[in-house]
Amino acid sequence: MRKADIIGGLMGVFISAFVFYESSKFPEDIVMKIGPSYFPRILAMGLLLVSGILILQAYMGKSKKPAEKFDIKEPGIQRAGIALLSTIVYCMILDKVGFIPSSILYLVFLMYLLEKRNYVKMTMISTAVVVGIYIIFKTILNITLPSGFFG
Amino acid sequence: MRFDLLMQGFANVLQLNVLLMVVLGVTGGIMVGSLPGLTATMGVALLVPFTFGLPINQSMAMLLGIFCGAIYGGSISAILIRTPGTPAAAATLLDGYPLSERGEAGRALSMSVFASFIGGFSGALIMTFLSPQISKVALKFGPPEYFALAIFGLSIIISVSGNSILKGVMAGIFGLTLSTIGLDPISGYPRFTFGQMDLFEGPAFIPTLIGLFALSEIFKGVETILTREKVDNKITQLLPTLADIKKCWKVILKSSILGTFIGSIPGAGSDIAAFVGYSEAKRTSKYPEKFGTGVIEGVAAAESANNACTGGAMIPLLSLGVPGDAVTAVLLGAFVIQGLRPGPLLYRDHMDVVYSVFAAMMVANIVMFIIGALGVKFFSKVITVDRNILIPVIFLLSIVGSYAMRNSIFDVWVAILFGILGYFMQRYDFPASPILLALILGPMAESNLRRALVISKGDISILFTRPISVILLGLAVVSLISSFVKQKRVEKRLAQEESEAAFK
Amino acid sequence: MKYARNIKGVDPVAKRKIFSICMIGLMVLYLWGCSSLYRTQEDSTQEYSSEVEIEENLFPRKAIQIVVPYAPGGGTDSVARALADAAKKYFNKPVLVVNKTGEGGAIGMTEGVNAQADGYTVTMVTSELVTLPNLGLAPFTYSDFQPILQVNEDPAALTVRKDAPWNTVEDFVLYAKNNPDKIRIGNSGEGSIWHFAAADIGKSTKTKLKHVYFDGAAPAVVNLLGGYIDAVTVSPAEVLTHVKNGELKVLGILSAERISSLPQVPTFKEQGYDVAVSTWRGLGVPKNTPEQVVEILEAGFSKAAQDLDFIEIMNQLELGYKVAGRNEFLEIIENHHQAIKVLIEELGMEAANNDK
Repeated sequence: MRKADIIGGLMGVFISAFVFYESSKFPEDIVMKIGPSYFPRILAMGLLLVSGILILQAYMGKSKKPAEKFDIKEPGIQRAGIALLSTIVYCMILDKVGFIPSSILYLVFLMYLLEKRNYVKMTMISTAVVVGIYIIFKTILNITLPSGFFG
Repeated sequence: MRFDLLMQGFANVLQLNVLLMVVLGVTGGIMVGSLPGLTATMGVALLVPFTFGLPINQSMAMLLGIFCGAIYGGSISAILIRTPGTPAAAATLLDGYPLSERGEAGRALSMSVFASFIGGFSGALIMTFLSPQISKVALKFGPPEYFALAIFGLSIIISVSGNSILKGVMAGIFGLTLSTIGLDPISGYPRFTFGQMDLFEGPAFIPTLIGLFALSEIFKGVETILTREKVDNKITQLLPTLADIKKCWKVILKSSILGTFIGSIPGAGSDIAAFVGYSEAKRTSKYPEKFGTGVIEGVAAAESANNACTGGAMIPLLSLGVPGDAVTAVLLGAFVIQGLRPGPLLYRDHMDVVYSVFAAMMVANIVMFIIGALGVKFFSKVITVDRNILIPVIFLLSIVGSYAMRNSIFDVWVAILFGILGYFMQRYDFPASPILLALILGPMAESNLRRALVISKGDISILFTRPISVILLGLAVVSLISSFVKQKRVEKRLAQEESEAAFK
Repeated sequence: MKYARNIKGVDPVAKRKIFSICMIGLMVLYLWGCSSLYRTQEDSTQEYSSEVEIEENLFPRKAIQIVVPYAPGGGTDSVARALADAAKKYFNKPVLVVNKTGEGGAIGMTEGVNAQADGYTVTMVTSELVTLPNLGLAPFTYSDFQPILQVNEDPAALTVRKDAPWNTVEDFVLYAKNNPDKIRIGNSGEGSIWHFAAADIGKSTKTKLKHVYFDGAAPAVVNLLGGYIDAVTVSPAEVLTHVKNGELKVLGILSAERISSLPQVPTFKEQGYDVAVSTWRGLGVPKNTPEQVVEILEAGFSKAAQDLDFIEIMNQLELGYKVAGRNEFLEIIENHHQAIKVLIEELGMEAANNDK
């Protein structure tokens, strides 16, 4: 937990530094002193303060709870990683391939990842869900989904 | 108040063809609301064109049905899969999802239907009897009051912080910072956008929410699916038990009134109402520290407030011609296209229409109650589906929901990014709820603070010299201090338990 | 033997992982295949496009899409839908409305600019077509569009509370001159058309007004009613109901001629001040659209705009009905562009994205 707190705190420091840097480029309001940079800077100061305390506490060993270790070798975490990866791939090809084929593939893959093994059932459920969503969004509500190949 | 006209209004609504429209509207609304990414605003907006050809009674009946249905519908997915179907249900998931994780999904859902109904119906009643009076108070809400209201809502950040105040505050400030991304509300200058047009309106709200809550949760689900024991979610009841009602009735009544009022001030919608209702319930509760871990009052407060907001939002629309929230802005268009411009003149010249709307609103809430209660069993079937089928489907719905909001793949990336962030935050005990709160209330706080200062020519005392704003700010301070003290006590107790456990 | 055992002995987790990675790989391959197939299809449509010239007289051969850069249910959307409804019968093909919202209209209009210049994607353009690029908030300029038809114009109306001490524009200006920065004038956001309207009043009357920015016209009107600000410059429709109810009064209209909904209110020009700011709506297509297609579109939509059903809806929406052909529309847009450019310079508003 200690390490996580320090990383979290450092991220906070980084964000607030970034906010300060970016907001220095904002134009000042001519009439009012309170311009676009007013609110973000107050927040950045707050964030810096809180992050500082968090890091300090972590150094002084005041952080609570033993860390639930983030072990990249753990099967569960690997599975989550693969799910994330496949989601990214899915989104990248979504508007090129079209909603229906890519979504069916995506669902079947995820179900496989979660150790479902009844392939016929998997394909049937996936197709039904995807076509159902497609009908609700596109046909009934007239919201465009990525079409691509297969329309 | 004219009872003869109200009776006439009911007679107009209680006709078969109009009732059919209400039923259709409510059912469609619940569906739209429960699907992530489809909001009440979108639902109403998408159907407005279809009502062009209908007579005003039928068209209003249908649109109000969608409105009420969708606001309730959002809670279904919030409770069952931790994805608020609409922003209005964002506060519902705080206690709704933990309840369903404990196997009490049925209890949460039935309370949500009940609270939604009471909230919605009280909103409709208040709107019927007090519209002109309330709209006068709503006019008293200038920028300083809006700012104070936002601060009051934000004051529960500490108490939704979970185990660590520090991390909660940090998440809250981070959320507020996120809410400054995009075009500056006052000067129009693009802040932190990296020149990206997609960021001009900030990270879109629904995708951010889906990422932080739904995606992060299912990443976790994927991780633990094989090791986690199955929770038995038995649905035995359609309505909340008497014990639950007894526990919640005060909260529901208070939230209903608060929700109606917040709805009636233009610019504050049901998402804000739900959070203010939730804050108030928590502030006055005997065990505020338990909120967020699955307390039934939390669901009741959020749901009665956001549904009461529907009636409230109609008040300024009908009496001032100014929409109370995004949905009523669309409804304004639906009125106008029928040749009726809402506003003081509508009250003078078309009383019959006004009273039909009142009647339709009440009927829509009753229909929503019936359909919602009957649906509880059906909806909660969702979580009895095998998790290795359910999780992939939630993944897909999250992606589609993020996309559908603005037809933008960029928003999907936003959702994924926040999904990763949410996953790690959850893992390392950084609460996500303060971010949610900050995203809803941050823009309101900032733009109204700056607007107030423009009006007062830079004099900050404008915030402290007006009664409504002083009261709200005072309440905020009280709630901040008391929750800080209580939270410290909780932290201490947790630390004690931990060290005791270590000794054993 | 040893090897064989090793392979068999791979633990199930690793096996699953290997399989998963293979699956992802396969998925990518499959989809890549699909997408390249799609690409070739796209290429072939581009080849076809050279034949468009021959087939122009057959336009339209399929549904025409109107891109609306604002949310469904709003004013712009209602105009588009009414127009689409009327236009169906003149094109003998469906006319669909698609909402692409975001960034104050920039998203939808960008999409419209980048659409295929074949006339099947028409964009509902609004006065933001001129204001957004001038503020550096959009990646296009008005000249990326070829205008087809204007269907609406609404001037700003300087509106104050009934009990305000001013009854004419002159009273207002006199007070503003003696009390610089005292009159708080609300608009629908910085860089919005109604902000320019108020700024233009200040510029041409040489007075200093305090601009207060709201999130749209409706909150500005509420704040006027509630007494937080002293005046607004928004469209007549947005204040009409309160004017009729006797809570607000309109001092002057910022247009060349009086308007039908408030015939008793004189224009600024009549009162001796040469200020005119209006918002407008119309249709446009990408600039490379073939001339013949544009002609067909203009003819079809002009007929639709003169359709009685359309006129009735415009009246119900209380929107100013004004139809102008593409040449006149282009002139209006160009003039507007010049006026806004000058105003922005004089206001010292930074073109926001210029440094990026």
